[in-house]
Amino acid sequence: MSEELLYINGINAETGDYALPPLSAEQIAKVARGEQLDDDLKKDLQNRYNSSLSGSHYGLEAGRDPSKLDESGWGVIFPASPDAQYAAIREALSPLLDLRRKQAGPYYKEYFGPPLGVRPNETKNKFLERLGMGPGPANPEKVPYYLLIVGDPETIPYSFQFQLDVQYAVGRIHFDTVEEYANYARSVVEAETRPLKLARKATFFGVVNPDDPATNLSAENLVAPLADSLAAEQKSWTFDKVMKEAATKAKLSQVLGAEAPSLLFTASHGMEFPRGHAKQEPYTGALLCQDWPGPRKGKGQPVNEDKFFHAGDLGSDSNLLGMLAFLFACYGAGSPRYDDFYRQAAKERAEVAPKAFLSKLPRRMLGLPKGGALAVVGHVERAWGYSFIWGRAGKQLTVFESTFKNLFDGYPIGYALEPFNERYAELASEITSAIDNEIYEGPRPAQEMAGLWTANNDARNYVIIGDPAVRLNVAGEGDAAAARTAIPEITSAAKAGSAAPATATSVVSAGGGAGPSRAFSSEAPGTSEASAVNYGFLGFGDNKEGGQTLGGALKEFVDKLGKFLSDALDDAATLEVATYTSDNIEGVKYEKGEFTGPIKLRALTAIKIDGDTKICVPVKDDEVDLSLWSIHTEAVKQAQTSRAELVRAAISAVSGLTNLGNK
Amino acid sequence: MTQPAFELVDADTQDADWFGLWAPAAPGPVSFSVGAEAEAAPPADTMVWRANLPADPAQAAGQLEAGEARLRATQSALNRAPNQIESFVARAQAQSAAGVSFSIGGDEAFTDQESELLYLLEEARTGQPPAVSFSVGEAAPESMRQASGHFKAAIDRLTRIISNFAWVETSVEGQLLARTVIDWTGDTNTLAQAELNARQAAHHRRTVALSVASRGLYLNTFVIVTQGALKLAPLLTTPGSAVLALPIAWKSVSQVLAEIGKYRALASQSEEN
Repeated sequence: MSEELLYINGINAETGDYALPPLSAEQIAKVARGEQLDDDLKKDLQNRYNSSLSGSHYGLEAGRDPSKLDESGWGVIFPASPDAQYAAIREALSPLLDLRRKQAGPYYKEYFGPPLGVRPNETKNKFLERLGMGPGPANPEKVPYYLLIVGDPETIPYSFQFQLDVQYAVGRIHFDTVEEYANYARSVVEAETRPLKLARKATFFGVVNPDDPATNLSAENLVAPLADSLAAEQKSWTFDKVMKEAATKAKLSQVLGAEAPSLLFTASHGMEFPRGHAKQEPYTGALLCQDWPGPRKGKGQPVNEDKFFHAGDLGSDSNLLGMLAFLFACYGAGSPRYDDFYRQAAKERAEVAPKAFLSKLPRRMLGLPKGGALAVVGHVERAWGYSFIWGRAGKQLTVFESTFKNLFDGYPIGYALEPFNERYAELASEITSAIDNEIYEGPRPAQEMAGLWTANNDARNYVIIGDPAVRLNVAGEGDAAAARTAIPEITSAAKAGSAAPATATSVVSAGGGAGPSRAFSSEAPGTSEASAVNYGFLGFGDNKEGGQTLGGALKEFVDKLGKFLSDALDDAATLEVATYTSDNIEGVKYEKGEFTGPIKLRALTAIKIDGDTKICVPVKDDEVDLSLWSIHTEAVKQAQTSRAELVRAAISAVSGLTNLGNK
Repeated sequence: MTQPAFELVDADTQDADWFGLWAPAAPGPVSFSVGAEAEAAPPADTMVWRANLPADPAQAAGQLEAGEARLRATQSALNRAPNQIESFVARAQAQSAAGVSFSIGGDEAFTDQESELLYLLEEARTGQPPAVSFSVGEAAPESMRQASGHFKAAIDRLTRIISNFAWVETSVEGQLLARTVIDWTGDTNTLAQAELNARQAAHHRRTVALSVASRGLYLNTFVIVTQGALKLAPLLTTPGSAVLALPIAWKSVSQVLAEIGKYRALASQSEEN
C-alpha cells in the first residue's frame, strides 16, 4: 500500500472498480476537520474514554458480571409504532424472549409499543431519559446492559444504535418475514438450551485479489496474523486459514456447508451498487471472493454473482446453527441511507440507498430454516483498511485479539466487542481534541488526522446483527464435539396456498417437531393443514371472505386509539365550549364542526393550557342570563372532566394492549 | 309504542349496548326530495346518544337517576371481574395440577358460566372442540370461532366509538330540548332551545354526562378484558396465549354484564309489583 493513499474495502459491481477511489491523507484530513459530533455523544464518548483509563469497567456498572444475564440484564427494544406487525414479530420471538426472561430475572425488560418503544427521531439520550437513565455505565436496575433492537435502520436509525453502543452491548435484528424471526429465535434457544457442543473450530477466510492493495493489506496484516496469534493461545481450537487462491466462492460455500465452523472470520471486499439498483438490496455487502481478477484486469467489467458470496448462496438446507461470524467488508452489516463520508466532505448529504437497510447475507445467515448463525459482526458503510494499521507502528491487532479472546473465554458477543467501543471512544475523544487544538497549535499532519478519522469511523461502524447476549456454543476442552442439529422447521401458511413469501405482516404456522408448537395461521380451526390453532389473531388484513379478521379489527382499533391520543395531545393546549340557542332547533344544521342556521351564540369559553381563559357571557335584557350561564358553566366543567377521564381511559387501553403484547 | 328511555344510534349495527342502558335505534330516514327542509342530522357514522324523557319533571329525573345507577352498578361489577377471573384461573390450575384436563361440565367447582370458559380454553389449547356430549335440546357451547366473532364485533363498536364524536340529544315527549356535540378532545358545542328552563338544562346536562360516562366505560371494559386475558393466559401455555385469551376474557366479562342486566330486570320487576 502506498504511504499516501488509503484503500477502502468496497467494489462497485457495475464498473468492477473501487467503489470509492483511493484517497490521499490530505483529502481525508479535510473531511476529518469538518467532523462535528453531537454534543451529547461527545460527552458520552469522553466519559467512556475517561472511565476506561481507570480500567474500572467496560460499559457495565462496576461489580456486575457481564457473563451473567441475571446481573447485567437483557432487554429488547421495538419501535414505538402501534403497527400490529410488531405484535406478530414479538410473537415469533417469544421463545427467545421467554428464555432471556428466565435468564435475566428481574433485569429482563421489554420496550414495546408506543409507551416504551423508540419514538421517531428519538436520540439515545432522550430514550434513556424516559427510562430514568442518564449517560454513563449501564445500570441494569434501570436499563439492561444487553439490548436487542428489533427493527430496520430506517425506523430505529443506525445513529441510535451507534450511540447506545457506546455504553451498552447492543445488537439488532430485522428480517423480511415473521418466519425468519421465528427461525432465529428458535436457533438461539436450541443452541443455548440443548446445549450445542460444536467442535472448537475457527475458519479465517482471507481473500487477496490480484493487484489489489486493499485485500493484500487485510490478508497480510489482519487475517493471517490474527489467526496465528489466536492459534498460539487457544490450543484446544483448530484454526483453518483459507487464504489467497484458496479463498474462492466455491470454497466459502464449502466452508459454510456440512462442516461449518463455530467461528468464522472473513476479510474481503464487500459489494456495492448504485443507489436504487435492482441488485442493491439483495447483494450489497456480499463477499467478493478470489474469483474476481482484481482492479486491473476486472476494471470496466461488471462483477457478477459467480464472483461474490451472497444470501442466495445459502440454500434452505444450509445449517449454521450456533455459529458466530465476523465479516470484515464494506457494507458487510448494512448500508446507511446517506453517505457519511460525503456528508463530511461536501457538507451535503448524498443518498447512497433509497433507505437504510441491513445487508441480506448476515440476515440470511441468522434466519436459516434449519438453524441459523447466532450473530454476525459486520460493518455499516465502508470498512477502512487503515484501522488495523497504525502509521509507523504497523499492524495493530489488539482490538481484534481482545475481542476474540473474550469470545473464547465464554463472554457474550456484546461484551466481547467492547474493545471496539473503547477504541471508538478513545479515537473520538482524540480527534475532537485534535480539531479543537488546531486553532491554537496549527494544523496537524494530514496523515495523522486522516488516520484518526478513518479509524474512528471504522470502530464506530462495527455492529452486531443478532442478540448481543449470544456466545460460542462449543464442546468443553477435551470433550467430544457433537454434530450440528437442525431446528424444527417452520412452514409458512402463505407458502401452502401461494408462492408468495410470508411478509412481516403475514402469518406463519408451525409444523411438528420438538419445541413448543406455534399457531399463527389465519385459517379456521380444522381447516389448516398444519392443524394449527388459530382464530385470526395474527391475520392483520382481510380474510378469505373479504371480511376483516380479528387481528385486523384490533389493529384498526389500536390505530384509532393512537390517533385519538395524538389528537388529544396536539389539541390539549385549548379547550373550547360554546353554547348556542335557537327558536327553531330542528332547523339548525351541523356543518364542518359548527352549528349553522337560526342560532345565536350565547356563551363561549376558551381555556388555554397556561390558564389563559376567555369567556363570553350570555346577556338577556341587559343582565346576565343566569339560566343559560348555568348550562354553560356546567358544560365547561363537564368538558374538562370528561377530557381528562377519556384520555386516562385511552392510555389505560393502550397500556393494556402493550401488556398483552409483552406476555 | 313506548320509546326506550335511552337510545343509541349506531349505523353499523343493531346490537344492544354492552351495558343494557342504551337501546339500539335505527338512524333517521334520509330525505332526497328537492326543496325539502333539511333537518339537522348528524354526519354519517356519528353515534347518537339520545334520552327520551317524560314530560313530568320528577319522572324524567327518576329515569335519569335509573340510568346513572345502572352505569354505577356496571362499573362496580366490572371492577370485580378481574378477581373473579383470578379465582377461576386458580381453581382451573389446581385441577390441572391434579393431572386432570380441564373438566367441562359436571364439576361442582365451576359454575355453568365458568364451564363455558373451560370449554373455550380447552379448544384454544388443543385446537379442537372438546368431546362433550349434549342432551337433546341443550345448546352446544360457544366455540372459539364464535367467541372470536363476538369479540371482533365488540372491538368494531369500540373503534366506531373512538372514531367519532358524540352527538347527544335530550327530548321531552318527542320534542328536542337540547343537543350537544362533543369531540374526543373535549371541545363542546351545545345548542339549546331559546327558552330552556333550569330544570330542563339540568336534564340535558345529565344526559350528556351519561353518554360521556358510557363512552369511558366502554374503554374501561376493554381494559378489564385485557387484564382478564393476562390472567387467563397461563392456562393456555401456548405462545401468544394472552392474545389468544382475549375472546375468552371478553366472554367472561360479557357474562358479568349479562348478570347485571338480569339483576336490574328482576329489580325493576319487583319494583313494578
